[in-house]
Amino acid sequence: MSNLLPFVVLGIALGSVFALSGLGIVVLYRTTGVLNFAGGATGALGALVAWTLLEALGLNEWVAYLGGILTAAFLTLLYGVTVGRGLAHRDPLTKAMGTIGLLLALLGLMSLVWNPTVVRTMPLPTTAITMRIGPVVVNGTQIVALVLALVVCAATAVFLKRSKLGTAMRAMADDRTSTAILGVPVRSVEATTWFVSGLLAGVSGLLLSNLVNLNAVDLTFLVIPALAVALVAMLRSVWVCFAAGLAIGLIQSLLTPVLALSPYRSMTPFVVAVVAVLWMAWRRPNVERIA
Amino acid sequence: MDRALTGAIGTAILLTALTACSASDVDAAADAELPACGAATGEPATGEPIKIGGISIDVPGLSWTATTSTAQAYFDCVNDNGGIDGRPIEYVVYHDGTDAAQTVGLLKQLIETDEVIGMVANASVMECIAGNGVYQEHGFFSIGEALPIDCFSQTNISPTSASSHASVAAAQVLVEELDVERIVSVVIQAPGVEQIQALVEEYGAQQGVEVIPITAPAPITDAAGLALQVSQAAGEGGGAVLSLGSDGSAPLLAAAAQQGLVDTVSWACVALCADPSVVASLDPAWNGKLHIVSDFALPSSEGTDNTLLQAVLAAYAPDLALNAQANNGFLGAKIAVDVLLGLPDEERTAEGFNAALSSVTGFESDLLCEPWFFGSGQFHLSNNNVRVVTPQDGVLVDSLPCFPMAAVPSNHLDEIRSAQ
Amino acid sequence: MMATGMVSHGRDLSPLPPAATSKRKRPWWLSGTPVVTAVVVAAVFVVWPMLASGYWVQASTSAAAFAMAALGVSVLVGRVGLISLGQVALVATGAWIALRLGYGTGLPFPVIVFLAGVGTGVVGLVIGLPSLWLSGLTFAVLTLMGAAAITLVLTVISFPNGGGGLTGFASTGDSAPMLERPMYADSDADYFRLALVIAVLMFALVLIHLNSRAGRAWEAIRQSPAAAIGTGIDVVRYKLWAILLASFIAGVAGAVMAGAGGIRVTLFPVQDSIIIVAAVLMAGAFSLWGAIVAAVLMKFLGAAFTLLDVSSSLLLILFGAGIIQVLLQSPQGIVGQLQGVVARRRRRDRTADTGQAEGEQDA
Repeated sequence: MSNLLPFVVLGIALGSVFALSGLGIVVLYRTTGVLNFAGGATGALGALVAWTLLEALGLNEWVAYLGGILTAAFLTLLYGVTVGRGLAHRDPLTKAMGTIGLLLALLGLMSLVWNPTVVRTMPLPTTAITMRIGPVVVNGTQIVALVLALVVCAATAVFLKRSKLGTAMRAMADDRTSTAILGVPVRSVEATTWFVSGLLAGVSGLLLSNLVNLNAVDLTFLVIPALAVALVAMLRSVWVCFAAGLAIGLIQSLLTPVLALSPYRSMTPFVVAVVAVLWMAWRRPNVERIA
Repeated sequence: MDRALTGAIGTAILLTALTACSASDVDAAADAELPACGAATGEPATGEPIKIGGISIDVPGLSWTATTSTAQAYFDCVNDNGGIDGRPIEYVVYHDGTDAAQTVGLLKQLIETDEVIGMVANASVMECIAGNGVYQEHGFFSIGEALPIDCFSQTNISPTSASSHASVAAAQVLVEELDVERIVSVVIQAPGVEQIQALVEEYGAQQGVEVIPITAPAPITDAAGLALQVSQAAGEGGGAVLSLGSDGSAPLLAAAAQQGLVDTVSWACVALCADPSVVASLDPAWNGKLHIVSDFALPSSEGTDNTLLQAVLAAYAPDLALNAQANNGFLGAKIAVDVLLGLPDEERTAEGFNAALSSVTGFESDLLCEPWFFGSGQFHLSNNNVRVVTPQDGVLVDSLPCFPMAAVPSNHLDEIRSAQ
Repeated sequence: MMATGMVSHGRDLSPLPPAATSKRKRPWWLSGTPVVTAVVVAAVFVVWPMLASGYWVQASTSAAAFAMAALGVSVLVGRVGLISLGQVALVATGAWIALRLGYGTGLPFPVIVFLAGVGTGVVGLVIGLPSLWLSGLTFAVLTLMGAAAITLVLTVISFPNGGGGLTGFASTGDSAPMLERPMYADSDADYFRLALVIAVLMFALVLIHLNSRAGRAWEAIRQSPAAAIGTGIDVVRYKLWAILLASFIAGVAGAVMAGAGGIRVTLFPVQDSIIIVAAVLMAGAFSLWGAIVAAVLMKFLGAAFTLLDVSSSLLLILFGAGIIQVLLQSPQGIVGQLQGVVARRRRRDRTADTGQAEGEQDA
């Protein structure tokens, strides 16, 4: 049994990666009605920009990190006020397809500008801080990821329910026109939403570059397990999102020593999402939509 | 609003294209001192060009263009030094992907339409897997870097590197130098890795050492978990052979260092670990503890060829790093130039060049442990003597001198060595 | 999905040739456009392999296979409003089945191609089934995850290359196995012709569907799913039928690819499943021509880029920007815009004629 403890601890670390990425998706969806496929790619771009500022231009590391995060934030804001606004009256699927276009464009851009064969590392100061839990060592970045996921989850839940701005955001995601008629400053609320979402993507990108790899393709397609987590949460509940992320991470990590299933363990998010979707369809066969 | 958006998108694409173009533009710096390449006459070549072909892979996620770019740099230097009896070399390079049919089409384009007389310094996955038929049909022989392990079992292809075959040498280091009791062989899930595992398993069987194969899923999202899995499998007095690309090695090594596993397991790694960007990222805990099997001499070595390579890169391709790709590109180009210089002008045709290339023996270079030869028959593994290097504070230093790779059934080294 | 969300900008958005309202007495397959198409196809069949070099013949075969895959996407997006982000993974599945049958049995080529289609149809159905009662967005997400899962499984088990057992993989076999071509289509040029014929058959299959009861049901579902249910159409059944058809065609495309060149899992990356949707949307999802334009965009442009030493990453950026532009401004895509231009010109000519007549009357 003690052989499994390291995989439990690592599973929670992996799960916080999933939870953080999934939260980014759920938060943006609840506030704009857009399912953002490009969250991972935006974060990756921020991380690569930070790396360039740090390594190639030799800037101070905090300036570099801030530069990366702001790049992600402003890129998301730019998308939100141009394409996002242009598609705001369309159905959720069309809005999501726009972010798919952004994903492709960013993937191409990153592969072009940052040669994929060069190995890049950008150790965050938190990664150097280590702590031993039994047979496994956990680093500060993993703890930051877990804490951040928890904080974002709690903050979002409270903010969306209790605050005026949060309620405005929820209303806008539901019915933009009516919200505008009611006198809510739709354009500025929307811009704020996108910007904050971009900030979260940027921070996640920096953390994930240490937790996974500073590699454009890998970080971009982390959106797939993130989508699975978001689906399990039915694109609604941030708490279910957090729990689902941790659970999926745990299961995937615990499969590592199981020789027969180990090569397929990256499929865990998909399998869990399908089970969740089937369960939802069985529970409420009359409900046409999830989104 | 529509026009503005279209304009913005158009500008973005334009800017990206410009960045791409300027990034790939290699300035031939006007150097005061011209490196002595080829005939070393110091005068530019102006005669009728000799066309040589090259193919390297370039897809989002895997880009091995540095090999052909280094060869181009060497050919540029040769052309500035009188070329081949006054004739410059025109290097026609295409970049392929993972589509076997497209690569076959590109090889036909090079040979039939562009009419190149030879294929050198190639770094393409599909060329080795699907290209041999085209080469046989036209009587062409190819030398280059070996990306997939298939490159070593094609009749008309002879790699200049040892690549994934170095896994056997890594196992040799663990068993013969470090006396490990069992070996964990780690690869990343990809087509062809079973053959790498088979090599290590055969060596283990020969030596009576247990081999535990681990295949990590790609991409590695859980490096710490993998490191722990490896260390648990190796157990007390065990060793690990890492046959990962440079992309997989860096996170795994970082995680192993953080988990404090550097001393609990004996670690050996193959050539791609020696990439400068990986070495620069290594934790100081790895100093002297990571045994990297290298097919080529260190970038810091002082031989004539290594010095020449550094000078060529500085003058013609300053953005390229001195790594395995550069070594392979340089060697491929140099072999081609030496062959061409040794031929009379009327034999500088496809027939003459390929006949001469396929019979090269005793090509010496301080980059290599032993002289290179093309070889004959189905199997080619001419770079079969390797050395061991180890990281020391962000750079590589020599650890063990050159030694021959062990012969196991799958690498056919017995056949290759006796035929030489 | 796309149709119901659109606001008309006064452009002609009618996508289909008006079969129901045509005054012609001849059957639809004898009218103008199909005849021209048949002539063009026949010309390409005979002349193109003779003119093109080996490289372009191979690119054309690849384009023919992708035209079929794009056709499947077009059926789902343009007719039923479902976006599948896993089509290329289904093509890979078709290739896998074709190779397994090719190495494991002695069945003739056409049978293998058909069975690959059927098998892939089942797989596509299984992946699409869970989300049919939920929204189109869930369908898109699940197909994307399904694509990643299929790619993972194929990376682990590899493609069959003559080995035994369930997976048919032997580590000593071919690294990039190929399906054996039939004797009458052994050369690259002849295989291209065979691929072209199979593609034409797939297009014909879709056209037959469009003019059948299924096609009319799809049209009703596309206009308004709620109204369709109201008129008694079993939406789920017809959606399933569309998914089955699209997946079948993807499987056939996979089998064709398996005979064209060596197959490896790296030929079917997850991002290609996304790109093919982008290409179809850019080219025009409402007309079958869109699938052809999409394949040309993906494969011919890609082939040209390779020869010109332009990075394939630029293609990614192009598709990304293209899909955004299409969604924002021209949902009917390139083909739809061209058709709109042609239609407007015809109307202008007609109005000019009638205007003249009216003018005379008035005067």
